[in-house]
Amino acid sequence: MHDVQIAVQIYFIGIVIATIMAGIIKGLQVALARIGSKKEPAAEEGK
Amino acid sequence: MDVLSLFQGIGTLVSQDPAIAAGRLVLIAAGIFLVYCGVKGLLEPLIMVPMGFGMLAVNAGVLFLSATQTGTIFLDPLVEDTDGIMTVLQIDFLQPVYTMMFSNGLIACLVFMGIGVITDVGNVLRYPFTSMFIALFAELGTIVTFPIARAMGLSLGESAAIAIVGTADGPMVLFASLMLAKDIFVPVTVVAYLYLSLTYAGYPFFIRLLVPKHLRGIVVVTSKKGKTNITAGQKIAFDAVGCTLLCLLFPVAAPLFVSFFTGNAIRESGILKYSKLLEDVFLYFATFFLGFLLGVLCEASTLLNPKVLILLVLGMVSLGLSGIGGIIGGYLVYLINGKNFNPAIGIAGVSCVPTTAKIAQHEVVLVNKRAIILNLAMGACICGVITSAILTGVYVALIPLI
Repeated sequence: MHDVQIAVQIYFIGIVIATIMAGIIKGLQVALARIGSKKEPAAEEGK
Repeated sequence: MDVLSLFQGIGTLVSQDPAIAAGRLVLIAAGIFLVYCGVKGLLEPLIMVPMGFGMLAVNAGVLFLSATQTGTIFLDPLVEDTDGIMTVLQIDFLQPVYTMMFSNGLIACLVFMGIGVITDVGNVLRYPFTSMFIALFAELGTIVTFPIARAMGLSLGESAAIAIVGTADGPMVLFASLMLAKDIFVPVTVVAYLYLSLTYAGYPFFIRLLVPKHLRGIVVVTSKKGKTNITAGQKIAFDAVGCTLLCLLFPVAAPLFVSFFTGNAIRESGILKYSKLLEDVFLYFATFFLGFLLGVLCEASTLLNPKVLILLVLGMVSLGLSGIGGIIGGYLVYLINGKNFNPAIGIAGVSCVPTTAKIAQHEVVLVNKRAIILNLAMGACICGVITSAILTGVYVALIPLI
């Protein structure tokens, strides 16, 4: 039983970290896309 | 002159313990068989051909080191004291590679750098949650095998090492078994690479068995975000943040993380000379020596360990459960996405980049030639590497504390 608990704990930690990673990936993508979209009009104005 | 002293490979066979001598003969035959399977493409040739040659040579080339002692001049994995290492480095021809690259995990890191260079993380950035969700399910074997191994009498470290075979990442298994169960790292790694080679043959049957034809042929309709272009800058930002976060959480596995993300950042930064160096030189150099050294480490005395049979069973259980877990994950995404998902993609979450993604695509195309799922499968596959690294990091960090 103790070993099953260890395995469940390890999986739980894994799920938490993987979800945080996925959230960070999503956040990064959104943030960088916004920066990109702000730069484009600025570049066009410069033309 | 005594003929058996002249031809010492045969002489040692006659003078050794019959069990060891028989084991040597079996392993010579096994080495030849691995070479055959590698050349024929039944098993992964990049690993199996050098491994088979290493295995047959180390078991054939045993000589009398003294009047009472037999051994080889390949390498000595057990020597630990500095004087002993210095002596062996000058005698055993593979000892420099083993001491400087294998026992410290450098070889696994070089393979990971190469994998980083050939990996496009764009698909992960497009579908981070879906890919990560599938990859987490595809770690079923990595988790479930641990208590099974404990129940079969293995220690905590040994159980963790064999459970990590379920991550389907050879370098990860090598790294973790060196950290957690050094006494059985040879059989664990050999079992891992043997079964990873068999994924080519086994996983297609899993897909055919668990995913009916009408679901295998589903064409996934991608949304607008699925067609957005992910820039190199976004990918490099992901590499930097991901690497920092994982290194902060699991410093023990930091060498693996930094190797993978550095390789990927080099790919995306467009430094072609480094990319070619890592892919063409480092990756193939490390893969060749990994296979060759694993073969050389397969001495009869090492593999006649009674635990090897348990490891063979558990390795298969671990990889099998991970495959099933991945497909369960695929089914759940299929249901969550309103049936707009191909469950066969789930198998790609097992990692083993890019083999499982290619298997998924191949099986899907056999049913429906218009169904292109490779992008989604590669996303799940790369997230499989990330979740494998996370779980390996948790095991390596947690087990010594228990």
